[in-house]
Amino acid sequence: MELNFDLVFNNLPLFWEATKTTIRITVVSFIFALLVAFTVGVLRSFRIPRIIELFLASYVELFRGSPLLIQLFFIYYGLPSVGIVMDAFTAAVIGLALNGGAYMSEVVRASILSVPRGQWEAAFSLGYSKLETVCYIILPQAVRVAIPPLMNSFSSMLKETSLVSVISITELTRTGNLIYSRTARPFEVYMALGLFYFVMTFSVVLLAKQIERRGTRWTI
Amino acid sequence: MDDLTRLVEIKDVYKSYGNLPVLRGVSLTIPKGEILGIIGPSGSGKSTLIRCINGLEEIQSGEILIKGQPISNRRESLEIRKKIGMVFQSFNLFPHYTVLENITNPCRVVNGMSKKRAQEVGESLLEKVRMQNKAHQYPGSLSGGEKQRVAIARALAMEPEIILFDEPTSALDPELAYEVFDTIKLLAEDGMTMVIVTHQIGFIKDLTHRIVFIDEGRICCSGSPDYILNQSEDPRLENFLMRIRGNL
Repeated sequence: MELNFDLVFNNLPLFWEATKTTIRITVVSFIFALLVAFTVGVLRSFRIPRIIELFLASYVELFRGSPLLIQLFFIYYGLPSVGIVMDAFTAAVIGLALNGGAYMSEVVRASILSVPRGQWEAAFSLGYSKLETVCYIILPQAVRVAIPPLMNSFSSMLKETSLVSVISITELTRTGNLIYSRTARPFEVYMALGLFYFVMTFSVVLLAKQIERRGTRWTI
Repeated sequence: MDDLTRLVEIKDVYKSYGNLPVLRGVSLTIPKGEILGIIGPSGSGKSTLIRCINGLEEIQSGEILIKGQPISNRRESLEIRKKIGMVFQSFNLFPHYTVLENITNPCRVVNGMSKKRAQEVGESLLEKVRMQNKAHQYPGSLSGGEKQRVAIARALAMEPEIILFDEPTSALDPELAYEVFDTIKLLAEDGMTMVIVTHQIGFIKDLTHRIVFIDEGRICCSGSPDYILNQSEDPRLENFLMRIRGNL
């Protein structure tokens, strides 16, 4: 069987539209995931009421311990049974943000715990309040530790958006599937798809390296 | 001694970590203007004692008063804490701020100073500890002695009434330790009240007004530097001095 990549080039406008959808879902989900991760991660690195800690810990473990695919199915197809209906894009963003947020909150928590105790003590003895200590002393140092793993999470999320094709969002993967069913050329289509994802994640890796290099203004 | 001159009053303080008692009934009064040295073997509780004074450690019983006000409650003691400066063995400078920002940030955040005023305060304090030429470097590029001098300037920025030094030179080479003690001497000339926990008795014998020897969580003896270092016949103190002098 001879290979014919013309069908990829002929469908480039379609792929381009789909790529934009993938990027949009990734960016929006990642921003919400960051909000979730910082809220949960910061709260969980403090002594908080047991009931809140239990609630946050259950959230993190539930979302890390079950497949994202099931979570997406549940949000989009399951929740309408109890009267919660939303469009596919919203469901995708909620699923990706809650799932990514659970993993990323652990990154944030570990980064906060990596800041030496002496930093808390110095701020305490200078008269900083707890909130001021977190904002001015701890988070700036924790964020630097967190950036490389968070960039990694961004790449993961970009690849995981391929799962939202199952709730009928016409992003990159679903577009590939549609073109495949029309042309019956899986080799060319999926190779092109893989390449598109790779180009995006590799760009993120390069960007991450750039940020890490520039972020070394100060050292411990 | 009237109420005004009693800056710190420590009354029968007990403190333990789990089942391990660290302070077993310590009472000590520090008048304004005094420079007090605290010496004692490792694990005797001397660092714990000064960490209790500014609320870094909570005490199990007894009372610590700063100008007559108790410091036992960590949250309510914010205002009092600001008046107690602390210099740590491991410096604890903020690595993500420049030397100058290490001073201006607390001035602005804690004391609500304007940017310009904080800058002036920072620059004059750095000049005092002779670090003005490194104002815009990050702490990571400084020597240990320089870091400690910046830490002293930072503590001064809060205009404390007393500064606690927790083994300020234990992490330094003797040469760098000298430069830190020279800075501490400058504060002594200004009449600053200071408590210095150290093993380096050579540095504090001319600097302090009084030295307290702590052993096994109790104040074993106290007196003038000359009395403590040369005249006391307390066997535990003699034993301790013999050991640290042997190391010098």
